[in-house]
Amino acid sequence: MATECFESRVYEIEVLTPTIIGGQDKIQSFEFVKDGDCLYFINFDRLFEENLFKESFIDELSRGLSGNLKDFNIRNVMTKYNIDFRRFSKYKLKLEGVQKLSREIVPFVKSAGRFYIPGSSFKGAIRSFVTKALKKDLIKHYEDCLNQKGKVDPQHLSSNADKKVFSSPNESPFKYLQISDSSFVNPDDVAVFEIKVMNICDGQVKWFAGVKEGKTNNVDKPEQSSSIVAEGIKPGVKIFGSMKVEKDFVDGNEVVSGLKEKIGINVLAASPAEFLAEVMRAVVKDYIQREINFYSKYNQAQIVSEYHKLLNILNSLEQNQFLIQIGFSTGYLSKTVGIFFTKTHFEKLKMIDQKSRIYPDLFPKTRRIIFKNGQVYTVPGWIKITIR
Amino acid sequence: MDVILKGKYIIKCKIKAVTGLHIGEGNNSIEIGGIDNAVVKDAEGKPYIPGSSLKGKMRSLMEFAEGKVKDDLMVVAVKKGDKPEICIHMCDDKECPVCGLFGRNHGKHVTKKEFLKDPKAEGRDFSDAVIPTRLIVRDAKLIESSITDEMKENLDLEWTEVKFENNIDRITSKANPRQSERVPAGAEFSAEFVVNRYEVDGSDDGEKYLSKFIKAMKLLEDDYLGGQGSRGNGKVKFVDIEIFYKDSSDYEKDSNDLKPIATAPSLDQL
Repeated sequence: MATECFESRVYEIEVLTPTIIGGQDKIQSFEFVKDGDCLYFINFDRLFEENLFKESFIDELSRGLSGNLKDFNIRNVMTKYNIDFRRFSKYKLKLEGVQKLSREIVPFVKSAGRFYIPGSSFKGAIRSFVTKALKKDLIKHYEDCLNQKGKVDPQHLSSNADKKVFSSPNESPFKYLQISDSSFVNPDDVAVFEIKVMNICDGQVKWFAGVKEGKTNNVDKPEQSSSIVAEGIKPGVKIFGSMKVEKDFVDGNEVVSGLKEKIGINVLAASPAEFLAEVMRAVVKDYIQREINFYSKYNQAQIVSEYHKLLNILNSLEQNQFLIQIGFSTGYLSKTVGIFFTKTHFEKLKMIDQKSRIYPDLFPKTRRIIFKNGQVYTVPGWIKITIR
Repeated sequence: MDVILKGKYIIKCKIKAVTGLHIGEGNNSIEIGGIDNAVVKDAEGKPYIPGSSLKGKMRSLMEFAEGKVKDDLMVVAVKKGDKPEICIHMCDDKECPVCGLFGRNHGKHVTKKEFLKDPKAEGRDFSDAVIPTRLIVRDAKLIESSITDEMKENLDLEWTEVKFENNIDRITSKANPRQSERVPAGAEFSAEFVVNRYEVDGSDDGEKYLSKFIKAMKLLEDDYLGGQGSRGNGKVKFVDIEIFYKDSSDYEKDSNDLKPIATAPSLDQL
């Protein structure tokens, strides 16, 4: 067997649009201080440690945190006790044209306090996009899941199809695709972004403005709508990691069936890494085209123009490059095989998943859009990958 | 078979976790206040890398790299009913670099090919080829200072973090969360390996098995250690490498003043 089969290669991620990989717990308003166009995230361990004996400070802080948090302003308390919030911050992030700062912020995933893109998120996104390239008879397994009788758990609806298509983890071609966590991202390369939910109601663009008396409230003007605020990596930033795409990922072996026989696209690439890149480029092209059609229909010129930029980048890529959409707020279609579903499929899905709002005539009918200075800016999560 | 110990190569280095490292404790027991999917820890409660994990992974990688993963070259180590559950390479080829470095077991062994034909096959004894194992892998202890105060401030537990992952349903997009404990990237462990140099029936190993061991180290750097390695965890790097050679005659001397025969900050500079 050739030695190169065992060598891992470097992947480079270039962030094209703000990319958010959500962490576990939301950051609450008492955990940060806004100063100008920056947010300072407080290091409570150090704050408590160094001010433990400051008369009544800890009492006041505890009272504030256990009371109504809406009335609590940590900056005022710190100022009262002459404590500089800058000295007690873990990191600071710039607000990237955020106009409505919500009371909680979606954190970016961190390892020991350091921003990074987990290999699991990257690999999961690749797997989701690979499912969009499957042969029709394999996609049918997913369609068949919608015909299950009795009580079905929506969290595990695709399990049977996943197993039929890719087998158990031990026998899956994905065991031959290794993707490491990325290098750490400098906090200067991360910012805070504002996201709004575009909702198509009766063929018109509306903006989600929360829930009123149990009913979803959608408004015409985005400035009156709700905002989701999240930590994200800025466009233009490059990060690295290692990736191994083994021959068996494509060709399979006695135990594992390869991806080549599952893909409904004619792939010409010579090497396994280039095979993956070529599949991704083909799938992403189709996905982007569908999104352009969607946004064009609802006259979202700015987003259409953003997607045309992505399409131009996609068309100029080398054999070892591809684009993918990854992470928080990238929507139903990026993560599922729903791109192949019709009204009939969504009618069945609506019966199974009664808690979600599924509209068979148009699903999904929402998109999450990044706003900058109150204007529609772009869609989140698009990255360019180069495998070296 | 005449076997003479000519000397020992001792390889000392640090193993750096380039990404988070999850070597599971195995029984998945959950203590009160504990977390799912914990990492293995020593008696002091600090994570470490068991020598068995390192040696097992290196053996497995070498089996592939030396072309030994074939049904007639694998023996059934663990069976489940009539099915071979875990197979490893073992043979009686005295020149086999995998068996020579990582060792053979006494007793009878059934190859996977024989087992698939007849699960009751008696198997063969490789005893004629068995010699003391050349490679010894010590447990690698955590270098506490490698987990800095700044990292510690952000850890969920004293030495480790909890990573949350979601498995997303490909039809509904509903998330199934799971969590696992891992040693954060940047942590370093002090490692030591010994490669015995033998003279077998008049033939001196020389540096053959040392070279094979360095190959195994390189293969590991291009693979992963521990669990969940295909999706991020377990990328490791060998750093601050020192190789010593102790001739068997050195053990009769009073002085322990041993100088390294090679040093390098990393494998690619060795």
